[in-house]
Amino acid sequence: MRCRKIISYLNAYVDGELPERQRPIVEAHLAKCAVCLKRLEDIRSLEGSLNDTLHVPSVPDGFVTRVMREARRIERPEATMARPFPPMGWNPLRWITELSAPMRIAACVTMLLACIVGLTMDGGLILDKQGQVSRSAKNLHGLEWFEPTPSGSIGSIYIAMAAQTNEEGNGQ
Amino acid sequence: MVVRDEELMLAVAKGDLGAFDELVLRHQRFVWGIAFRFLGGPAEAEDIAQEAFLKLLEAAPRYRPTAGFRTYLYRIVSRLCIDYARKKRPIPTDGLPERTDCSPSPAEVLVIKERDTEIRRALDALSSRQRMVVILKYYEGLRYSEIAQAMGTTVKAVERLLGRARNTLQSSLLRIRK
Repeated sequence: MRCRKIISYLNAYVDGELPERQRPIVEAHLAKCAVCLKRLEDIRSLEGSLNDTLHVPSVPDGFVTRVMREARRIERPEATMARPFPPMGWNPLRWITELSAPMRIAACVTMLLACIVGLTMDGGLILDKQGQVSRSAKNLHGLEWFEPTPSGSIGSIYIAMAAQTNEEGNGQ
Repeated sequence: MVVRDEELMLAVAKGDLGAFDELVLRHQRFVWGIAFRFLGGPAEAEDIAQEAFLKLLEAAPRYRPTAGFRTYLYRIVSRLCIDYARKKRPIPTDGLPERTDCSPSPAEVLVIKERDTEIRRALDALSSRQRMVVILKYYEGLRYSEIAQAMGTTVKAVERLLGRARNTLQSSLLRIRK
């Protein structure tokens, strides 16, 4: 058999993929042909060069987590995609239905207390016993910043408006 | 009793993400390994490995256990790698990671790194299909028929691809080492 044909068999021969009936033919040729034998050695030496090279580092940390996050996004897109607008039938008090029973009770009690405190104080935080805006409330609103104020300034207009509001409140 | 990959895949087809999680855990090293050896860069390899698993999830409803699961996964990874390489070239050869599996001396590390770089350059000189055949043959130890299945081609075509790849590798390594 010619060298060209034998060379075409050499890869399969080295890899153990050559049919059994063709192996003796190749081996007989190799025993007497130095060129083909050299070619066989080249193929084998390449295997030696590739062995123990291109070491693979460990899989990056968190790889599985990242894959699973993407997988969940694909499988259940509505669970992870942000909605730009409130959906139809949007309920602003839905959050309370998502709370546990004790948290719902706590939220209701807090809101009730806030309402009671607001109603019972009836402006008591701002007005003193004579019905005037208390000094502490003035401080609270930052009115003291405008005292003394030059006449015609924005500060004096603001104080005049605040005083008018107080008088209207007292008149009622 | 350990559940077989094929059974897990059928569960994934029914929407069981727990089964998918198990498949990712089992095969992450192997998928990552092929992608890393083929592409040479960790960031690209991770992208391809992740995409391979997501393709697997997407393809689960069409999966039939007539084909071995591993072969099925090989086909997905090799196709993604080849497509990626066709779109983007060249592949980086400078950023090869340090070996961490043993403690060689600095001189040995240098030799190993030089050898890896030589092989990397020689592999990069191959066409994407030849490179995949070399990786599946030399690093995954697959037989011609398995490579043919993984790459969706014939045994004869694999033999030809491997023959040409060997010729190119030998001449590239000779040129690099000169």
